[in-house]
Amino acid sequence: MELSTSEKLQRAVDFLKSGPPGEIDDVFNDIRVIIDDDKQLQEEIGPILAECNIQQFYAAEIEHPDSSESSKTVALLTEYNQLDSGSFIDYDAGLSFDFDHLRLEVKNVSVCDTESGQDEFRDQLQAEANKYKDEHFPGGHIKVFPNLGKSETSLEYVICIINNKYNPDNYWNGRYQASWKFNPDTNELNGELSVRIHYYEDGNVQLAISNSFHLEISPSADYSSLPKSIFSLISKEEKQFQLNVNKNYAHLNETTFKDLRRKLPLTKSKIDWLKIASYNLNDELSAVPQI
Amino acid sequence: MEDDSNDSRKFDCALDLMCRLPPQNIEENIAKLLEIAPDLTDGILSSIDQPLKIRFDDISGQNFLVCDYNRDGDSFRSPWSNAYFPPLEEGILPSTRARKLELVANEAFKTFTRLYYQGGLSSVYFWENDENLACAVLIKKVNNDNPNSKGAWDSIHIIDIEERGRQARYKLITTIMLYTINNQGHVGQMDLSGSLTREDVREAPVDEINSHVVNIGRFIEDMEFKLRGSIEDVYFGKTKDIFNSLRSLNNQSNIMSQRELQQNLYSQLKNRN
Repeated sequence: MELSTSEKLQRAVDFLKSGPPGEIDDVFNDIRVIIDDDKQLQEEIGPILAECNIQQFYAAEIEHPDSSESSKTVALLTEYNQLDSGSFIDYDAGLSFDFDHLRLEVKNVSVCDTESGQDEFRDQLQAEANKYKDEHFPGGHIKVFPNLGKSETSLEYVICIINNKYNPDNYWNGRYQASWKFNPDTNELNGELSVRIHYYEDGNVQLAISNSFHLEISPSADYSSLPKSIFSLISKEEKQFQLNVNKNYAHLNETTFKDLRRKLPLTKSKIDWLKIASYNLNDELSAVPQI
Repeated sequence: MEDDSNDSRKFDCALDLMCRLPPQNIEENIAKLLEIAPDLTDGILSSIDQPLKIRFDDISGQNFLVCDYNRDGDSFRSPWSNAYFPPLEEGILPSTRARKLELVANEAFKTFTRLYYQGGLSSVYFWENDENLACAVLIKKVNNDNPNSKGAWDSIHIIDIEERGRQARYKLITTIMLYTINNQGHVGQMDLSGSLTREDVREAPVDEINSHVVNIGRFIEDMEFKLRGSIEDVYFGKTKDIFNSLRSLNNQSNIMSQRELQQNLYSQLKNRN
């Protein structure tokens, strides 16, 4: 029995979510043609694309509504800076905005009156985040948010790191994404890090790494140095992670790959096919059952 | 007419989709795709390779690999006993000539697999297509013992043989599917996987019946050598470079000042001349 469009879409959601970085439009277009029901799709796709964009920290360019302050700035779409109304908030620019996930357009940018201007700790973390970004993620984005999803009593700060490099002309796309949560009450720093790379010139090769970190910041008497300590720990952990991934590549080539299939047989020479094909011939032919 | 072009567009999009989604989940993705578009079933199953499945031949007591070319209904023919599992009455059997070649080739590729894969399982199937011979050579190797270094390799070679007197023309289509998981130094789950398909054509002399096995063997050995090299050097190497471009290991400010230093040095040296 043929599935309804909604049921088909339910199954296609995973395609969108698990699709490689930078190729969501391609995956969506494929799904659109395969499902072949644009009207229904248009009605139902919105929330799914929203989920994908938020999950991938989509970087949206926003412009200040007051044209005299004509500075453009990049805001991230994450679950941590989304208000109950569905709007997103960018603390650095002091702006809130809506987002059309289907057309990837920013709408209704307005100056928001939040108390965030008073959140000095966030501002200090953001200042450190900017330095860290410049040193290690040129072209990427790092944003610090007070976690809106959490209750007021246990305030938590979330550091969102995203660096996408899309190069479809050369058949590759990559994403580095991390979120680090710092709890000032417990001094715990927990991180989730993922990397996705797709290289598809005459093939389909994908790297997927996901890792989590559970750390603790040693409490310091000097609260003002805390943001620096947090970023030096993040930097140290991410550096070690990067070195370890490179170590894994070496192991992959030297061991994992060789254990699957050797480059050459142990004898270091290619197979003598004349020998192995004729060697068996006589024995085997006599064993052929008559059909 | 319109329906036809719509169907082929759908099919092209389905192929494009499968080339984008993670090769790690190819089986799940194909299952979901076919639920969405059951009309694409035959086309998708015959054009997209999936990891090889193993069956047991309880007549010969050996495992064998299955594909579309040894399938009849829901049963698969074992290259060892020539019987179908689950048992099938009057299942399609290869011609005497094809079966003879099949027996020789299976023994030869057993040796090939032992030497290159140090273990692993191979199965070869021959059949005749409108007078022409064709064959499928399947190889599978799985390493599951070390949780921090796991891997699986599937080779699928399909060869069409066109006999022209004492020469034969071999058309080979090879797909290699490779899955690896590594976790040295606690990087979490590092999953690097991929699938590549390549085609090639070769002509070679045929002096006796087993010449086909010799020619196919050499052809496949060369193709696997080339593809293994591509995967290791080009494909995996490329993802490593991309990874290292996503995060700069050294501080950008250090890199910049180093560059400045070099430039200064260079211009000083130049001025000296």
